Amino acid sequence: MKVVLGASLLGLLAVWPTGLESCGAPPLQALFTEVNQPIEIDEFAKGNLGILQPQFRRRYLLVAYRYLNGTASKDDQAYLVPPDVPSQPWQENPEQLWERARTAAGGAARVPYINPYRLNPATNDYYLNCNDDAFVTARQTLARRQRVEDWLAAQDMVFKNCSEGPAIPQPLPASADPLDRADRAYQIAAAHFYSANYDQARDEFLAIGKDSQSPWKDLGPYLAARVMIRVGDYTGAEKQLLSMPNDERAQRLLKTVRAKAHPVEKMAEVARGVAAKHPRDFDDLAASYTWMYNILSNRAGEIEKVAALDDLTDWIHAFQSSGTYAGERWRSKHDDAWLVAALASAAPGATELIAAADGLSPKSPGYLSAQYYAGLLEQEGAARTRLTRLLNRKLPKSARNMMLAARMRLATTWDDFLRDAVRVPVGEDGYDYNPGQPNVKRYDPKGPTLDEDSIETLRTEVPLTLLTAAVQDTKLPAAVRRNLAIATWTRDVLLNRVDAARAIAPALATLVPVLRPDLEAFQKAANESAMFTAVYVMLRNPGLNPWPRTGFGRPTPVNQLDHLRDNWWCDTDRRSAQRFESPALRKIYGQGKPEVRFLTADQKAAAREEAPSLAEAPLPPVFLGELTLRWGEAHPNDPRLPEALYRVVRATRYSCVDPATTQISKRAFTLLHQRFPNTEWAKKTPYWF
Amino acid sequence: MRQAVAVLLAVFPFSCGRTKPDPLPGFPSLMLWAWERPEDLRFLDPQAAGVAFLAGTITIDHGRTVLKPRLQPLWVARGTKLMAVVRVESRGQPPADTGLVAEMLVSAVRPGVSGLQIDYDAAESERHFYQDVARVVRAKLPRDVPLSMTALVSWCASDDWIRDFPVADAVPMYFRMGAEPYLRRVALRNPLCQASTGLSTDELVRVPVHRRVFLFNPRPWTREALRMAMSEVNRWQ
Repeated sequence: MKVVLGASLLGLLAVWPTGLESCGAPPLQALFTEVNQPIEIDEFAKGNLGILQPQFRRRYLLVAYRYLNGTASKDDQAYLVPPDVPSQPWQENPEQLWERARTAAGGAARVPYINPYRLNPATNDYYLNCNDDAFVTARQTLARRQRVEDWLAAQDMVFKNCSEGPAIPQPLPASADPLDRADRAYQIAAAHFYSANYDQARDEFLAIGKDSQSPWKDLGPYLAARVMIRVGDYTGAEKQLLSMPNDERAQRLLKTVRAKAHPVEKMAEVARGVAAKHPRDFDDLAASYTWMYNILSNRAGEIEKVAALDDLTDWIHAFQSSGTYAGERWRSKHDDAWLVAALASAAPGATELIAAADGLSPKSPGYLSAQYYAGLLEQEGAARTRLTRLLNRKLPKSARNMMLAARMRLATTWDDFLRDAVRVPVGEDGYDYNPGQPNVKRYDPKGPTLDEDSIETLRTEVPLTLLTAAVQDTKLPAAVRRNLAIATWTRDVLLNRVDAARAIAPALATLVPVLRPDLEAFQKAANESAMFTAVYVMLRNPGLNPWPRTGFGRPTPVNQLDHLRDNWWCDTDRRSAQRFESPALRKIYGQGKPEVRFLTADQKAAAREEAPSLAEAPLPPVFLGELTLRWGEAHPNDPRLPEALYRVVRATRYSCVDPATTQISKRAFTLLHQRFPNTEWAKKTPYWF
Repeated sequence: MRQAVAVLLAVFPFSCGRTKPDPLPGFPSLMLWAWERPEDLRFLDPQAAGVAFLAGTITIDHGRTVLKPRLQPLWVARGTKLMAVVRVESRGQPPADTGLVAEMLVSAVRPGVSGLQIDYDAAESERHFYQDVARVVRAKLPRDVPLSMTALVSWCASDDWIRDFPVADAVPMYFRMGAEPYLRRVALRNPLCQASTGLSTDELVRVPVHRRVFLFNPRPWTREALRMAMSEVNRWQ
């Protein structure tokens, strides 16, 4: 069976591509700056806006605009940080409640599932045809009527039209009870409505409105307006609803009709209301505004039309766009909101805007934004001075990290680089794959660590001598030193610098105590066996990786296999990221990458010499496997060999692979079983991969 | 342009596993998944490609069941073979009664729709429920309407719990594989999984291609997105 499995896999892999990449829900990652919304929402809601970013959701930009214009109030706080509302117990939906009521009232055997949505065959989509109110009204009517048998049968027909039909109940004869006849007329009109026979439904609802004896008299004209809305006759619906000035329900519907009939004008009106000093019902206005913004922004040219009528929309649109428009607006308005938008979209060297940023009061809610964006526009020296001045004060967490990143770009010494590289995450994103201990965090969410920009530099630009110095630098946080120590020791091994690896091993053992016994063995190993001992240490510790990690790093302890195959290194680790994930870093670097200014010529040369060897290093199963197999041939009695071979086979299963790893797997498997068949390691290795 | 796309699709060499009868007879060898977003697929040649469109999502929340049907338009050329896909999402204990969920699933098959596909990443605790629902659905569907399902690759490769599922075809999804990307190189033992291959345009990593490909695009489909994806998949042959 083993042979068959091996052969079939071998056949499969013979045609397999190289460079397989993992994918799926992204694993947990640290966030160092805000992405779509402020991290410290309580503070933001009070007007401590931090650094506004264009990608923020519009509900936050709306409130920011109000603060920048001095119109914000406690309404804004309540809007962004609403009081906790206890969760409501789940209730059956109205059609389920109706089904239950009709069954209890003796309706016919259970009706098929009522689907309130009706198909639009031309476009293969569905629309909500029977609203909740329809089922609520039916249930209320059922409760009020004495004779329900015929009424129920007719009502079943009415609701059949929700998704199928047409099924229209018959009118009752003139001799029937007047209430029954009025009910039936209403049911017939409703059936026409749900079966998309709109002209007839409208006429019948209007006729019901004229029947002074009908209990549905008041509802008829309102439903006629609903029919008109359904067919897009907003003018007719507006006229109909205007004729019902005392009907509260009709007046609410009128707002919707006007929004549909005149979306640009209505949105501008809502925008002016929401930007006012003391708007009535701020929550409702703000929700309507962002809802309309989302809809109109998907229609070409519509938001621009609203922007031409209203300053709030104009500002949000400009802030979220690029170009010089915001600068032009600031020159005509000279207010704080437009200054921030202008600075965020300006090209470097905009001296007029930088001067205006300097003139802004530190008490302005836009102060940090203006200062930060001004810093991105300035010459190096001025920018460094500005950012240092700002970093010396108390800052929101995300703003601090943004300023550190902006200053790190300008670093001219290794110490300055490291000082600005170390940042505290402000949040986390992604999925924590931790099935064994779902409630245990395997990382320190508040511990200082490294962001993408510094890692990009450390990966390929910095020589091992500097990394080694950083590992020994006790001023750096332990987590950062640990990260760099793992990378440095592993690099030394990959580059066959055994002496350097020995030199840094004590520091690594201190920073990662679980490695101490293995590293002590490595320290004691004779020169001849040192390299194999290092390989043996790596086989036993799948968290050893030559590439330093961003954020929280590898989530699994260094001496354990990660069940998502985050073990040793992969092809993807060797490649430079195409672009930064963080919008703040993309703003700083544009399409470019960090430019290293703090290295001497010798240091740059050393890094250039090391980089290709690291980039071309084989995948872990090949590197570790080849060295183990070679050692095994020369030292067949080494007692570590069975375990090492077992771990090589495991590495071909739990690490990144390519076709070469299959050969390694088979060779290690064969040697283990031929030479050490009765060991526990052979028994634990039933397959090769 | 339609002609160009048709030519591209026509040469698409799905040649594996042709000896067994097609579990989805009449469906083209390329099916585009059209998800919950406006999709205009009128550029497709109905002979070369069909559309498996998300017709609705059933949410089961601690035993309570709600169907949200497709609310976004889908345009297709006359004659396009359509398969309704219903996604099932669940939290907590599944309901004891499978009838309502089955009725909701069957309701997606309306005139013009030739097949039904269930997209349900059932957890282990939900497998019996899923099997029961599938049996009821199969019994309710007209005999000439094939029932298909999407499948995690692990279900097809090693975790063989769908072996006796009452479906004609299970589509292993070689994308969004979470912890399982290594399964791309594992043989699919389950016979249900040997007719179709599920791919996504943004994760086109080489896998064995069966006689039919279901192709997902995370954004609205365009001719160009389809052309690029097919160029890549064609290279695998």
